[in-house]
Amino acid sequence: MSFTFIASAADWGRIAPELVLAIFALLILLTDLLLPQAGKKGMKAGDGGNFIVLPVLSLVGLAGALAASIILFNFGDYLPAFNHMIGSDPGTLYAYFIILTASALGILLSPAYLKRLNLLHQGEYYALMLLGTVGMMIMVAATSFLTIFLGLEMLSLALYILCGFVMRRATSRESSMKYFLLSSFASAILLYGIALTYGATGSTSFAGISNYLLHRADLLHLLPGAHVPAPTLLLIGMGLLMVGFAFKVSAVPFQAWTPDVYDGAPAPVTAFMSVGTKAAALIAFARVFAIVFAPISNDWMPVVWAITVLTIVVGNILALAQSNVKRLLAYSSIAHAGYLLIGVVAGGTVGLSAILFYLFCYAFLNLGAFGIVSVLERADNSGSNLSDLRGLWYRQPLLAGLLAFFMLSLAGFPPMAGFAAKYYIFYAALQSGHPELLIIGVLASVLGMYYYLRVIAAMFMEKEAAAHTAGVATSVPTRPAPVSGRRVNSGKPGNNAAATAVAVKPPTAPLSKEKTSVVAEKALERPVVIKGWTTWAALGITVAGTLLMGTALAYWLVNLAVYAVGVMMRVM
Amino acid sequence: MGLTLNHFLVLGALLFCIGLYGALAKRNAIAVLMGIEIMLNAVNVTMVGFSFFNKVKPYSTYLTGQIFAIFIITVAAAEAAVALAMIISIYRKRSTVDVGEINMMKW
Repeated sequence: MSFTFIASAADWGRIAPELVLAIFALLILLTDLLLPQAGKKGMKAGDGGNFIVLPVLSLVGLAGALAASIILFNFGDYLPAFNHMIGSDPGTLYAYFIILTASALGILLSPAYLKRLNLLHQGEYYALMLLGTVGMMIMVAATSFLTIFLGLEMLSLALYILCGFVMRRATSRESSMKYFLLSSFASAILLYGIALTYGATGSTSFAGISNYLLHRADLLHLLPGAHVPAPTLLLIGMGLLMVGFAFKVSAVPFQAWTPDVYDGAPAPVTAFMSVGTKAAALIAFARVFAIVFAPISNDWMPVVWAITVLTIVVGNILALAQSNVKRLLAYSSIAHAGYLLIGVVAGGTVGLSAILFYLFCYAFLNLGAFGIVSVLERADNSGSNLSDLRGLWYRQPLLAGLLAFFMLSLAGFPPMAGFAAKYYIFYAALQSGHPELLIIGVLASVLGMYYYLRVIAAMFMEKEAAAHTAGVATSVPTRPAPVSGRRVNSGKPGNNAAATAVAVKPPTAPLSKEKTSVVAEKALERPVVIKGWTTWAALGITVAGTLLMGTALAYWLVNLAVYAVGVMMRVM
Repeated sequence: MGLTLNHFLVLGALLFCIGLYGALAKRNAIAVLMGIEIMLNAVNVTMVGFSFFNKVKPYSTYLTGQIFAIFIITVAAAEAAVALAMIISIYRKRSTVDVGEINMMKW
């Protein structure tokens, strides 16, 4: 039997979104060379317009990829490209929307953060963000284990570097190191699982594997319909695959890396990876187990069920003990991975569409919450402790209000997207005959409300510290401080721009002159402000998205997801 | 007595276990990296063995496993490059690459 592998022009069209993004990643690297270099002597980050040109270029790339996905969604033929290597079905394209949203919001949050931390090498930063996005999209679209592996490695390599991007911060270096060691270890286990599955079924493409599973009886010359136990090799391979995927989605026995990596990484990167990686790994997980291995679901279902329950319960319980919002969100993301795994257990159209809809809502919620964290975060990774947030409502009502909004939404309060997402995933559990998952999930959500509300309580209710800070603020008001600073520094009234520039800087020098208490110095060390139109845009989009997804768009998006998954399961 | 599939599989499994031991038990980050590389190479041996002895009909003429091994080698090289850069950056700041001492963040 001879075979010819032909890549037609239509195949390239089917992967147009990835191509557009990859080209823009290279363009960004090139543009970075042409721009006046921020790293040169005497120039600070921010000189040379890198803060406008590079993010805008990457946003244009993301918009192009989004446009290509929408065109494929409406006019594409949904067929897998490159000989069953990579799919272009509506389920995949729906997942592209999620990943592109997460990436765009992450990039919108970046410029202000990079400027504040005075980080150089922005060309690499944005190029790696885009390449990581491409890796996620390839992993989501994969219809072969080879493509899953390549996408996984592509996103991991980009994220290893991005996690360690704040070179001078020890926790950032540590987080990238930990992420690398644990993630590549998990990749090796996943690969061994792929090798054994390949040995058992003779193919690495999903079409070949499901063909083998459906026609096992014929292949072994047994009667059609006879019960054939899955070969031991395949069982071991599936077990290893499950370990590898559980690592990537940070399900519970393998969750230990998540809080450390999320904590140390720069906040916009954490925001991006917490949604993007989760979406990529979970959809690949669902595709492999709930679609390809569906004929032998009796063999893997109990294990995935146990992982799901463990993840929901342990993720929520460990989050209770956290005193840092960034780590708290990391543990909450573990708990959310548990809710998402319910969709894999439920399986079928309803389960998979619930996963897609949940991830879409989660992208807005989580990026909003991490967006606020990125505004709060200081260069040495402090600023997001609960003690720092105490009485934030009395200092920064807008910031506190937004954080409270996202926390309530993550907890699953009705008008927001968190509720709609949870509702649909629990509905899927009930529909597929798993009422026990519904009960465990709801009880764990109630437990989860404790730690989300604790953050809100710290911001709004801790009158003690708030009164203290407010008292200091009246004696040393925040506004006049820069004025006095300007007088001390120059003695001449500067222009407006200089005044705002001073207002942004930590006014510690004038404060120490006025002999205020240490507490006041700490409170006013760096006035937390939302800076930059991109940050405003990102927060606006997340708020709008959170509200709309929970109310007006929920029904439409769920129906779209059901349609997309229906076609995806038929085409594969 | 020729080379059979079992030879490949046993060699692959042994290498995988050696790599697993190295990745879990070693304290030096570079030794952990070497353990992970050995695990990846164990996968290569297994892949090539399965590809060579593939009996499932339409796929037995394909070279999927061997091509997969080439992809793994490429990715492993990229991973090693990133990992060594990270290890150097940590060594410069802390003068140690002991994974037990990289523990600023816990729980």
